[in-house]
Amino acid sequence: MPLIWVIRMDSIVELRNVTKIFTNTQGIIKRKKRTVYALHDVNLSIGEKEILGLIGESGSGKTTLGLAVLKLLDLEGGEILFRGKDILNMKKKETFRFREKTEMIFQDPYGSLNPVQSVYKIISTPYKVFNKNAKERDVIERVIDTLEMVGLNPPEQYLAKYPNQLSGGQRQRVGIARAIITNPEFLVADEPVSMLDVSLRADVLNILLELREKLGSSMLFISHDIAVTQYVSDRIAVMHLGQIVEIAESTELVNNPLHPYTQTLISSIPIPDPERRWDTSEPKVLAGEYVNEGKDECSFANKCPFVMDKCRRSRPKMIEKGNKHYVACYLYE
Amino acid sequence: MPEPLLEVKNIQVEYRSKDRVVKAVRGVNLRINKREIIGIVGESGCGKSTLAMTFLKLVDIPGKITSGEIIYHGKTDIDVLKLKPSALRKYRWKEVSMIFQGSMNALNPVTRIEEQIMDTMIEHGYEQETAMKRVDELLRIAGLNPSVKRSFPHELSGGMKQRVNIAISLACEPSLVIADEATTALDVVVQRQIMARLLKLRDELGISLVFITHDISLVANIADRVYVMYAGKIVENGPVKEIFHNPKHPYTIALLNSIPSINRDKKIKGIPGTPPDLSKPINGCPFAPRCSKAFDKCHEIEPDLISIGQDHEVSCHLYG
Repeated sequence: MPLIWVIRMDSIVELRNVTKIFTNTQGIIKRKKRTVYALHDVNLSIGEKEILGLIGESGSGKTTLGLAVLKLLDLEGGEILFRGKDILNMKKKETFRFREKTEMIFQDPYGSLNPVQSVYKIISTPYKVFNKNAKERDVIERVIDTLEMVGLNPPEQYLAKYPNQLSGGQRQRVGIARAIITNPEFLVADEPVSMLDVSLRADVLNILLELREKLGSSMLFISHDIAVTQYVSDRIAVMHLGQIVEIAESTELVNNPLHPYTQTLISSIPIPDPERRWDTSEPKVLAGEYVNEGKDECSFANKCPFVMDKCRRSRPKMIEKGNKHYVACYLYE
Repeated sequence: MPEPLLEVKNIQVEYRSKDRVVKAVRGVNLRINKREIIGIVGESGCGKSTLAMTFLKLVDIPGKITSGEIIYHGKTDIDVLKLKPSALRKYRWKEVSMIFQGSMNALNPVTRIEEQIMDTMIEHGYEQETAMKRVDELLRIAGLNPSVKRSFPHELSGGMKQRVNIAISLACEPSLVIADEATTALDVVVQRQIMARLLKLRDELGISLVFITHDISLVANIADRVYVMYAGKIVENGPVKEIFHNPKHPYTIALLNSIPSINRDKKIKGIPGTPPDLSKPINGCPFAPRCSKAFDKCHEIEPDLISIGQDHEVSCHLYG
């Protein structure tokens, strides 16, 4: 089993051969079942204090992976370990502790806060759930500390406010405060800045980086924006149609992408410098829309300009190409 | 000497409701030359989409264009805002067309792509047969296989739908296409494909393009000239290289410092505060409360756009 490439000695979360299948039935008269492999045999590990970026196009399974590691989905195959424990077979009590140690930061700062709850109520709720005997005074103090940590100063001013009185950036900070008040060891941030204005993104990203230092938590940072992902992440994993095709340290991945999909992706990023424009050629991917139906083939085979026969015969294994840079592509075997 | 295609003079737009008036565009001057690609950048709510709508006189109740002039230099000069409804119908799409924000939802879900493209052309006086023949060509120009004309929108991906919208925007051979956040919802690879396609169209058909976006990196890649908008006004404009290598307005500088870029080991910094409420009167420079270089005068007098170099204008008291 080619697991060595992903397993780190100090990993906090480990995914082993994780597979998630969605089925839907199409057609009214002729019922046709369609199977989509949202996660197809995914192996991945996230280290202690590490921020792992996960990039890929929409529909590649990034969010599904994020939900899976938080035990918010049933799986069709594989296992997910949190500190060595299989999260899918946890007992009720263990699950409760697991919920305390893992949290999520959502994409939509407008939809993810209850509009009829005050900031205090929103942030204190998770803390109270896991600290049933906490005195109100301690809770208030805790909430204030947390607000300070996410840069909402002076914190007292925000306690009684409602989400509609806050700007998008402030709302997202409230969302982050809610996620970190229980001191989680592991966070999933699913596109946390994609709905914010450009001028506000930087501060939220810097807060996430500071939190890692202060709380020592690990993070899975899901984004389709590679520049943003490189800014916050230690390592980046690239996903394509449910498969991880490449994983390396952030700078290495951006400077030296190996997988044809990663190469297309990186070369398509606009750089904010008019001296370094794209050439006007279109990226060399083949057209078409595909889903992963669980075939034993490379998920990129249908679109890859370098496709060979064997790409469709079996799925390439993940191999190391030096410097902790792993790629799943027959071009490198 | 570049020839102007569209000239926008002191445009002001207000949105009126019962209890307040929002001044969305507060006096904008702008010029689009022939074969030129313009980028208009700014945060959400700065008025950039509203501004673009005025080019087609699309601002509708509760919005109102309260002053200004838009001159289109086609075969004859057209004063857009004074056009009668019938003439306006001809101007829209035949001279200037638009790819809308969220235009993935701009297609009619129950008619085939082919009909939607043809409808546009027939409305503008094309013969049924000519229109039918042109559909294939338009789809090919937009980078699609002509066979998609038989599809319904739901059968296409987001990128393909956006290409259909590009095809529709080109249907009546306009000289100017306005793309309002046209690729914001798309993946980078698809975005790049569409951009490459649009750049080619400029070269092949000689059209002008206006990109309205908050993605500054994208503008750096495609625009010839850039307008930076803030609180309903242009705060800086100039050739793309000037704006990115020699930015003058503190807002432009802050904006450039707030975006991460691959392979740049620079700490990024957000801009403190939020843009002003445009329903309230603005005293002084609208950016002053967020500006690190603001001094007394900034809070009292709103600066005018002044020229500070070859085609480079800025509205900031630091340079006046």
